[in-house]
Amino acid sequence: MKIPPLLFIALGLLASAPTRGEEPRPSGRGPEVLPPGLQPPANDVTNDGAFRARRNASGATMPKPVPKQAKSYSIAELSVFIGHDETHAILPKGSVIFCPDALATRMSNRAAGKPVAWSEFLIANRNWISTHEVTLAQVRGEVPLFEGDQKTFATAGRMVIATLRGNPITVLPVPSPVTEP
Amino acid sequence: MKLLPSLALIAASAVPVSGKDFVRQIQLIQGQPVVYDMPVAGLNGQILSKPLEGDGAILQLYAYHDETYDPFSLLDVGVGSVGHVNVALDSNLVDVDLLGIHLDVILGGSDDYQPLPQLIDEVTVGSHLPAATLNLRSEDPYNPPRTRADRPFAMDLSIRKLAEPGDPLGGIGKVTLERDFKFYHPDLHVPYPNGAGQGSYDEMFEFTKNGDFSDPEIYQMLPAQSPTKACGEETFTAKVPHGGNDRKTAIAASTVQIWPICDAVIENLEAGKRYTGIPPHARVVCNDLYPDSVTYAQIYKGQPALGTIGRIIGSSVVSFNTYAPQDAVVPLTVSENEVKEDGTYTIEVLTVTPFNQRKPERVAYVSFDIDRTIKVNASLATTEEK
Repeated sequence: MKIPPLLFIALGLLASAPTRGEEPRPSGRGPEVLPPGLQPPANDVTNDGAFRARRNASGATMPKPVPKQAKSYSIAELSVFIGHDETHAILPKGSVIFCPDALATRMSNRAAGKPVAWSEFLIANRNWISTHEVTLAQVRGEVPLFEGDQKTFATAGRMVIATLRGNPITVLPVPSPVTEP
Repeated sequence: MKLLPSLALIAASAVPVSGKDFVRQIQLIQGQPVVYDMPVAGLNGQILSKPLEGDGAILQLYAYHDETYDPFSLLDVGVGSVGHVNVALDSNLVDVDLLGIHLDVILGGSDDYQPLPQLIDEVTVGSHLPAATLNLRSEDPYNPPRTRADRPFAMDLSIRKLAEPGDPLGGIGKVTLERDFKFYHPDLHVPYPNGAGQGSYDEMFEFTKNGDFSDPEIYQMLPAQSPTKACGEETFTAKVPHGGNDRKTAIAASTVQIWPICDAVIENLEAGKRYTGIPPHARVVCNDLYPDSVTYAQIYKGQPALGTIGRIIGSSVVSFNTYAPQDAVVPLTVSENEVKEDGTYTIEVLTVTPFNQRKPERVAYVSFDIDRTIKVNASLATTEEK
């Protein structure tokens, strides 16, 4: 069946109807950008004195500006930084699950040097970093890391970062069993 | 055996993406934060979430403001279904002591500086957390909310799922409302990326009941030397205690941008001076024109009188419909025919904005004399011939 082209045009116009009426007022110069129906000016723009008076009249209390409070769950609080060669990467706090003593200085709680995406940092530093996929139960601290894995870490002598589906993640410590006093 | 809240983690896409920006999910497991970082590449990142259980999760989006990283690119980002934010990245450092205040200022050269990414957006989700929506609005219907430094704005806050006092389950029974501010760089119209010029106000409101709350008239409090020239933003954040140790997370927030009142100087046309016509170099230099504004000059015969409709000077009309204040220099081209009669004339610069019911407001004016009569200072003497 053939649909007359006029119908398409009519449908198109209908569809555009809600937007046609509200075309944004254009930026530009010259008399053609003047809005219609201009009225005479009724007042000068507000000066500081008038504004302060109006603000006080509204009953506004004048709160004092104070330094911003430290944010909960901030980047500094929940991150560990690993750095090498004037670069660093941000990792979740608690994601370094093994660190040989010789590499301890490459871990820091401060960022220094150029920030690099974790994936790039890992590629550039494969010779001393490795990753280890963990399970959700290990993340929650319900079960410890396998002993065999821990031995492998020690033998390899690299820093080990816990990952879940390829991305770094905190591993909570396994709560130590409550001992009788 | 104690049941641990199950960890509902986000499944990131299997292919690792590269990029320095990332989404951080913080999940509380028995009060201890578990952090999971997912990289975001380019301008879009998608994450898929399983239903959340347990103590709730905080999602944070971090991006770098770093000169080594595309300093002026515009990033359009948001976390979850929460509103999007526009962030212009730059790396200029400016001393805010100029503003006569010293706040929580971290200047780039200080020893304390760390190249940390900026928190762009944050959302806290959880089935046992109170829910809130917070909206700021002004006479300007633009989104994101914005207003002019002298105009009030309004706030609507609604709180749901707040626990009743004495709730046996001991849920969260209090929402606090905090108010922060950020100055903007006066030319770039974005926050100082090094964290300069930011602070909070020392007032805080507490809400202990569910309901809808509204404040129809709030004035900006930016601690600027000239309050009508304040340029920045104010953020209202509803927070709840979350995770112990006096920690709080945001459950709703809204930001209003505060733009300065414009000013204008009429140049090459001096008050009270006498001219034979409007000088060809006469012009108006306008600063901080409101992002949605039409500004123009009009001329009429007589002394300045507010409320007069004059003849609009076509060359002076300038219109903006954009996201940040604008500067403009416009010529005042007035032909001989438009000032036919000699006498005193007034030129006024007027601006039309979403405020004042879109009636023009006078920004500047000058009165001067047009006088074309040629006066010859000479005496005529006749000599009688005898």
